[in-house]
Amino acid sequence: MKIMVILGGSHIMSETMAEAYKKATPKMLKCGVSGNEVTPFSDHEIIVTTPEEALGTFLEHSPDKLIFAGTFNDGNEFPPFILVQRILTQSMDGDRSRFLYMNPISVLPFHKEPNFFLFMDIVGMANWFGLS
Amino acid sequence: MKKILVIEDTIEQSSLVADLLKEKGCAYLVAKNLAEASFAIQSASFDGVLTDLHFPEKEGASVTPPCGFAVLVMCAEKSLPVVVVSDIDHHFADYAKVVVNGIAKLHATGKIPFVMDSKDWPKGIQLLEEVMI
Repeated sequence: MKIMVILGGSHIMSETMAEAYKKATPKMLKCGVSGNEVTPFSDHEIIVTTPEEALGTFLEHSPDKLIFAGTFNDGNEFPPFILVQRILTQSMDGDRSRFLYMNPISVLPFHKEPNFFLFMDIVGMANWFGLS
Repeated sequence: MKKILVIEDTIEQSSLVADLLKEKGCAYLVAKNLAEASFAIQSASFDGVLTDLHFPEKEGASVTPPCGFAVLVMCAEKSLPVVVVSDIDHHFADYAKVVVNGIAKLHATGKIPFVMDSKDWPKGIQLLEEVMI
């Protein structure tokens, strides 16, 4: 199964931090907190993208599931994340079993790159998608 | 894999065309109004566009011209193959044809096929395949 994670908030991080965040997300989902675990996501393909690139990534990979990770509820931000959210969910027929909002996702300590922890509710997400 | 943008405001119709595109192995995105369509066209690369002309939720009942004309102009500017699939009131049909044909002259292909039946997506997809070649 292809699972696309859209990382909101990467636009307000430094480039280094955003890159680290993008790299850490699939590792976190597939290998857990220790980096050495088997998780419900281990056997699945994880595609990470940003809101800016999300439409193109979606077309390129045709993912089975979407995770909106981070803040997607502020339509005043640029780029207009709310449009990304609407277009992608409509393109999945509004099927709530195919997309999940993870808000907030936390990266701590935010400014002390690259020593950060990524908190994601792996079990909750897996349950939502019926992976566990 | 062809990448198609579908611009249609009703869920029933967008689901119908989505199923047809899936059968053909196309990737697609669905936009429901002019803001979403405009954002999608500016943000991603598509091989073709299937669009309705009317998006009532944004236009209101009596506003002309319909938002779909703006979509056609955007497609012409990007040389993006586009097909219109839309019901047209008989009072409006001649006007719509003239405008669509006029915008088609701005398009690199010189063509914007027009299917005057909002449910005939198979025909729309067929015509889009022809103009995408």
